[in-house]
Amino acid sequence: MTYDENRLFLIMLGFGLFMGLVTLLYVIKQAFGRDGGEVGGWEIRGAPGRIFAIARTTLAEGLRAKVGAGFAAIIFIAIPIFYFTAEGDGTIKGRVQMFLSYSMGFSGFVIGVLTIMFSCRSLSVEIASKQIFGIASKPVPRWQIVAGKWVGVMSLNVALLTVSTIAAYAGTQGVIKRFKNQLTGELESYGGLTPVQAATTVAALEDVHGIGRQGVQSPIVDAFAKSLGRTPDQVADLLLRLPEGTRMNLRRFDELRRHVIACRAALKAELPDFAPEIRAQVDKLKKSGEIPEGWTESKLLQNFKAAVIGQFCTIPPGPQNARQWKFKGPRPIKGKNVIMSIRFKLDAPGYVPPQEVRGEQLPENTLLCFWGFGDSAKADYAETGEPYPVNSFFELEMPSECVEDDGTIVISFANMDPRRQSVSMDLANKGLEVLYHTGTFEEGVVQAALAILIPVACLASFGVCASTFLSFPVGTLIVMTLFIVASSMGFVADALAATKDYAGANMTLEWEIRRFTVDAIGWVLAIGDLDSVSELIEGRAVGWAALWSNTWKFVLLKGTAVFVLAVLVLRRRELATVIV
Amino acid sequence: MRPATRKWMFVLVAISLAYAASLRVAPMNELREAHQLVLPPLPKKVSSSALLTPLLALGRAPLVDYLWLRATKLKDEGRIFDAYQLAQWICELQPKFPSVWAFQGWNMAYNISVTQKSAEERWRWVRNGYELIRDKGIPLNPNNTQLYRELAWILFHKVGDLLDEWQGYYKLQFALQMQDILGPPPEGYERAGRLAGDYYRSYDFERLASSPQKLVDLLRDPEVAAFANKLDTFGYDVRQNSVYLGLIASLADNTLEVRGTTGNRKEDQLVALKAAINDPASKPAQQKLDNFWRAWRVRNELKMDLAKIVEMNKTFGLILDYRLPESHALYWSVLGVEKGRGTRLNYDIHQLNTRRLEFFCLQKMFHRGRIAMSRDSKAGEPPLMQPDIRVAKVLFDAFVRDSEQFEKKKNEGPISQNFITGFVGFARTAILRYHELGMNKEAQEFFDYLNRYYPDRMYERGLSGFLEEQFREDKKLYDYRTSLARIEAMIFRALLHYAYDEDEEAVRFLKRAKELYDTYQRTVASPRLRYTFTFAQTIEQVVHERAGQLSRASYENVCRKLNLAPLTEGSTIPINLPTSQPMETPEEQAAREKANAELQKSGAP
Repeated sequence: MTYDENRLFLIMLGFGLFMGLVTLLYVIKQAFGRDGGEVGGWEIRGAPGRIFAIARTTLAEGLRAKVGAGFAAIIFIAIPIFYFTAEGDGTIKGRVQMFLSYSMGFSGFVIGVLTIMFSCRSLSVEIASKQIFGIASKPVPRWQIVAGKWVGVMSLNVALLTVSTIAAYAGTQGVIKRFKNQLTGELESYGGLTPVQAATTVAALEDVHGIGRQGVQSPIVDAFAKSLGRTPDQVADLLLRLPEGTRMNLRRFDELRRHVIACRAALKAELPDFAPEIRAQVDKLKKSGEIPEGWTESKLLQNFKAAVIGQFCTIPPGPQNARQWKFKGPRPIKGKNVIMSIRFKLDAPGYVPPQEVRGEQLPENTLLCFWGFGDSAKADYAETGEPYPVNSFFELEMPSECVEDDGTIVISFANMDPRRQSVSMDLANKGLEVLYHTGTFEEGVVQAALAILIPVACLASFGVCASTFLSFPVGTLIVMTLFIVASSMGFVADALAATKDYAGANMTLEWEIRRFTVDAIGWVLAIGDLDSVSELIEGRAVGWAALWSNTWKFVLLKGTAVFVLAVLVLRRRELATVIV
Repeated sequence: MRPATRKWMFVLVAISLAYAASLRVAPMNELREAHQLVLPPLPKKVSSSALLTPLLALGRAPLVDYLWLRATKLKDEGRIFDAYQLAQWICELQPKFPSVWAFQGWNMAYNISVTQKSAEERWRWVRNGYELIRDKGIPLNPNNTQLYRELAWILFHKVGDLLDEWQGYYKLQFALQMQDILGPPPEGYERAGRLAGDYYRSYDFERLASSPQKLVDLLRDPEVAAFANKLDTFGYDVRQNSVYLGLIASLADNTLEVRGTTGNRKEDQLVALKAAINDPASKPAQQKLDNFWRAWRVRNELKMDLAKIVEMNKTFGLILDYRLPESHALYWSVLGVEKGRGTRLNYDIHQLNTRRLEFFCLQKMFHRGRIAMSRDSKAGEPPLMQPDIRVAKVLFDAFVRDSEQFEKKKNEGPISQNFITGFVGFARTAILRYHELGMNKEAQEFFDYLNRYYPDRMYERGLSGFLEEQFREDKKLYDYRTSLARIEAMIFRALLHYAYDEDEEAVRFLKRAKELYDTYQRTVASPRLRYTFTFAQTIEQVVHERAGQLSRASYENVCRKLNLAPLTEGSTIPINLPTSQPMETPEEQAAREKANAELQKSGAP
């Protein structure tokens, strides 16, 4: 960015801040001014009953106004459309992932929009039509009115989300069922099985357990062999008669079982504490007086930290540069059906050309690496190595036996590629994780749905607050804008050149201001930081801890703050002019 | 005039004008059609986008933008679970924007595919790429040459060429799919001098083209209807797609089952079913059913016009082997050029490129258009690609024809200045190949043509002199190590051909290997440097040593043909050629070089 662009940015930022301040002062003046209206109490006795009554009328009003029905119709038309049109990448796994992603994601989005519209009209329409007199003239504290409105909005949300989640879950099962029906048909037509045999074979898919394997060793082949009373080789011959697409779909179905229709927790590789090392390097530089001109200590620390972490995460070729990480997980459940895996992304700069080594072809854009699982001194230690793709995520299953009794998992890695290319893993950003099954898919779906409710609850607070002093269209427009900005903060940061990519070697003051601005906007507008749908389609559990942490941050803390603001505004708002 | 009368008069005038206007509709439609301003009728499978387009007239642009952003973001994150669907939506929202179809197809075939680790995953994305253009883009833009070119390019370059490291797998899957559609050779087809592959190189497409396009038309045939009813009693409804072809496949590999019965009755029914199928009286009906369902698959799965295939085969004077991606690329190129004809563009780069592609396809088919499938192909052994001599004449004609068309300035010879280097290289290769195959008349014709129009010193000694010159390397005397490596390489190529049942070619390679062996043994300067093992022992050693490069079935096939006992897994090779290879002394090297010079001078074959 040039100097002139920076100056323009700063001028626009200053102008924006000024306008924001003026707006805020106006709102405060309107809310707390001399003509601000009556003051209510904070009475708690009898609150649940009154809140419930207001919630009920709010819900009834919403249903009467057809807002809820309209949005529900959108969701319930969209989900069947997704069901019938979802193709994903053409495989059963992609189809399920796409259906889940679109149905849950779309439901979440529509419920978010509904929340904005419903909550923004909750009080504003009543005030405008003077229906509020009916409640305001009764001894109901203002906070109970606001709380009642919020509960009313959330009741509709919960009801809609419950039904749409059930529909998404049922749809997922339906997509799988459709695949099984297709497989049954192909086993009959291409495989020459009788309908009974084909049905029994497909039913055997339910009995498939354990980690995935290639070819005849696949647990699917094993399950089919048992159900048909044939040998694995005979089953392999049978499968070879199916179309290639179906065979691949069977393998994807097995992946679906292990990686999508699952509820897995993830352990991230933890970085060691580099602080003392970084501090020592900074002190050394200070002593020698070699600090570059204009560099502050914090900038020095940041640079050293990036360099040290980068070095730690980069693995040069050769066994002498092997790395080892320890993960601390819960006590393991051992057994042959327990599925554990590591998920990693090998970052390699540029193109890695193919190479032939002792008659074996190392494909392009892969690196020959070895992974070790467990303590190499123990009998349970396992090792595997092959060329892994670079610059894309890869999941590798590992034996659960290598987990220590206290839950410690030791993972070793060696870059043995003869092309002498260094490789790095972004450990801070899920560059290496251990995944293990913690519950059922249903549990994962419930957690994902609850995670969708968190931003919705926060949005409802914003909407109800806006409806205390803004008209329905203005309130909707503002909260909708905030919602869109909050949902696209990554894009905003990129557009304002406030991401790390734009920092350059020397972080300028302008960049710091931009970053601070974007961070501040992000912090104020954030309504949740869980990407539950992405987690769900990768078979990951959102996690009760993450759910609680988000609820605490965005519902109990931010939502309550907005709620209190709404109550204060409503208490000061003049609902009717006194005419003497 | 009274208001009511005036009102009725207006109504009458309006009706008259409406009627007069309606008379112009048909001529206007003809004009629109003549000026290519009319949209083609939409196939049923793609008509959803036609509904989507007007419906989304208002919000289409932001939706398309959103989908592009999402597709790019997910691809960057390595999450491609909905990439195919997103590509489809993006295209269907802009159905008349051919560049979008072309980009999305190319993106899947080239960019997304290479992010995948396994061959099967890659193949799926390559297929997704060309199927998007073929199955959806072209039906919506049937006159757009760019889409035909893009489709032909993916088939020719990504599937047919050698660029991709998994190209062997792509070729195998492509060929297997075609074999499945066209069906296996009939029983007894393979015999001396005729291979299974020849069935596809002489496939009777006219038989399929003449088959009815609709099932109802087929079932009007009483023979077919009676046979279908008969099979109904065994639980096979051959009116359903894939049932009849599946039944025939089960019968061929002896896994036929009778549906809906159990126990002893099942056995009786099975015998009855087999009898019904083997009944000579039902054979014509079976043939019709077979033709119909195979033609149906060609039309519906490959979106190809059988009449066009037949026409192309007649034009080229050659039945193209449609197991080759190049044949498909050629088909789509020819169609693209045809469909694009008559457009108003003075200079259409897509047409020019599509014409070039036709040419490339023929060249590739000449160099490696004879495809041989392994007996273990279904287990993943890639096909063997060899030169297809049948294409030599077609390619020769194409050189001449295209020279006339593209040449702006007349040259001395019949071939365009731009093509001369390529043409001469091709013609020389063709002469060698004709000679290897014993087709000396054709070799002489090509030689005479070259000599007449593009004379060179190497033609002065006639065809035999030219051939000697070309095989000079085979006569050259190399040292111990190099000669042995060349012999072993030649033997391995022979084994490869045996494995793929290309026995004639295998014998040719073995003969050349033997010649190399004999030349070395005969002319080597020092007895110390002679091979202490026989040629037969060398073959045996190579067979067992290179077994790992073949599938087990192919290895056993080779052993059977060479009368060798295949080794069990883990056992050691019975014959071991000496591991220490004697080094030449300076005197021996000088003697070899001298002998070499004499050999070359004598020109002895």
